[in-house]
Amino acid sequence: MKCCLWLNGERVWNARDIKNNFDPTSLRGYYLGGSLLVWLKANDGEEEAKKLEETGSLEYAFGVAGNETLFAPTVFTNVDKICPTLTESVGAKRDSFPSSGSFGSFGSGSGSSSGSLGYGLHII
Amino acid sequence: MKAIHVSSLTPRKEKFDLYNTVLSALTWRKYNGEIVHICDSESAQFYSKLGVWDAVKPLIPDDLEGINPQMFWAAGKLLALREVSSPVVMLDKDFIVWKKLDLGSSIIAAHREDLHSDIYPDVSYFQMKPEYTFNPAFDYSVLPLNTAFLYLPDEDFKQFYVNMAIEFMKSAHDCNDNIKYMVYAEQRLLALCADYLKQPVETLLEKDKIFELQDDYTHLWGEKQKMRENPEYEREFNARCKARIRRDFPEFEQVIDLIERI
Repeated sequence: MKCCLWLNGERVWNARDIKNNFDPTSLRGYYLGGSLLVWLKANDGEEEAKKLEETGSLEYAFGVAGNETLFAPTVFTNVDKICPTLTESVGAKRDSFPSSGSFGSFGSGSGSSSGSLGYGLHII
Repeated sequence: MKAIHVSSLTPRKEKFDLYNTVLSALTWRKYNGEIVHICDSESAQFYSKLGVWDAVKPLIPDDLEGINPQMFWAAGKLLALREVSSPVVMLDKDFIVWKKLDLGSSIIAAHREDLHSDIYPDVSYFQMKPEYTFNPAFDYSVLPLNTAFLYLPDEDFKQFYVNMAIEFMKSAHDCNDNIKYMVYAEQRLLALCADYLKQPVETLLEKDKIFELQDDYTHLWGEKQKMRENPEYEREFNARCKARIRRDFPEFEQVIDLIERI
C-alpha cells in the first residue's frame, strides 16, 4: 500500500513512527476504514498488525500508555462482531434503495432538500 | 485521466438514467480518457451488458462491509474509492463532462454546498457508537463539497478521507435518516479532511452559479424525479439522448437497442 498515514496532521511513512505520532482518532479511522492492517503489513508493521488483530487495542499494538481503544478483532471478516444489527439489514433490504450513483436524486444541492433542478441539460 | 463510475445495490433500470449513464461514460472517454465502472457483483453483471466502459470491475463487497445500505446508500462510492489509486476522477453516472479538463494538484469537486442545518446538522445530531470521536481538530464551519464530480490527485489524502468516511458509516447507530448521515460521510467529511490537512480545493462551478447557463457540464440531479413523475418529459429527454449517441458515438448505437429491451 503505497501511501502515508496522516497522524496529528503529519505524514507518517513507517510503522515505527506511529508511536511518536500516536493519534487514536485518525488511527481508529484507518482501522475501521479498512486500511490500517493492510498498511502496517506493507510498512514494517507486521508485529503491530498482529497485536492489533489479536487484541483490538491500538494502545497495546503500538506500545502506548493510556485509555485502551478496543475493537473487536478482524473487523472485515467478522462484521457481525462489530455491528450485529447492521449485518441483518444488509441484503434483506437491498432492493428498496437507490444504487449508489443516484446521489442527486435526494437533491442535497445548494442546501435544498427536495426539488433540486439539474443543470446543463440543454447541452444534450 | 482515469475516471470511475460506481454502482452498488440493485441497479436502477430506468431508461433516462441508463441513457445519461451511457453519455457520461462515452463523453468522458471522448474528451478525457479511460473510465472504469466499479460495482458490486449484481451491478457488474448488469452494466457489463452495455459495453461502454473500458472495464467493469466488481470490487465493492456485496455486504458493504456491514454498512447500513438504507442510511448509506452511496457507501459503495467510498468503498470503491478506497480500492482505486489516485489520481482519479469519480463521476456520478448522471454527470457529464463536455470538454477536456485540465487537472492538476488540487482536489476538485463539482461545487460547494451551503451549510443548511436541515441537510448538514451540527454533529451533535448524529447518534454514534460510544467509541466514535468527532475529530476535535476539524473546523466544522467549512462548507461541504458536492461530489457529483470529484478529482482526487493524492493517494495519501484519498486514503485519509475515505477511511474516515467509512469509519463514520460503520460507527453510526441504525436509524431512518437517509440523507444527513450520508451527506456527512461523503460531502462534509471531504471538506473537513481537506481543510484539516491543508489540501488545496477547487470546484468546477461556483455554488451560487450552478444553475446559470453554461456548456461544460450536465448534471441530471433532481430532474430524475421530474422524469419519473412526467412520462412525456422522460420520452423527450430519452429521444435527445438517443440522437446524441447516434450523432457523437455511432459505433455505440447498439447500446440504444440494449436499453430499449431492458
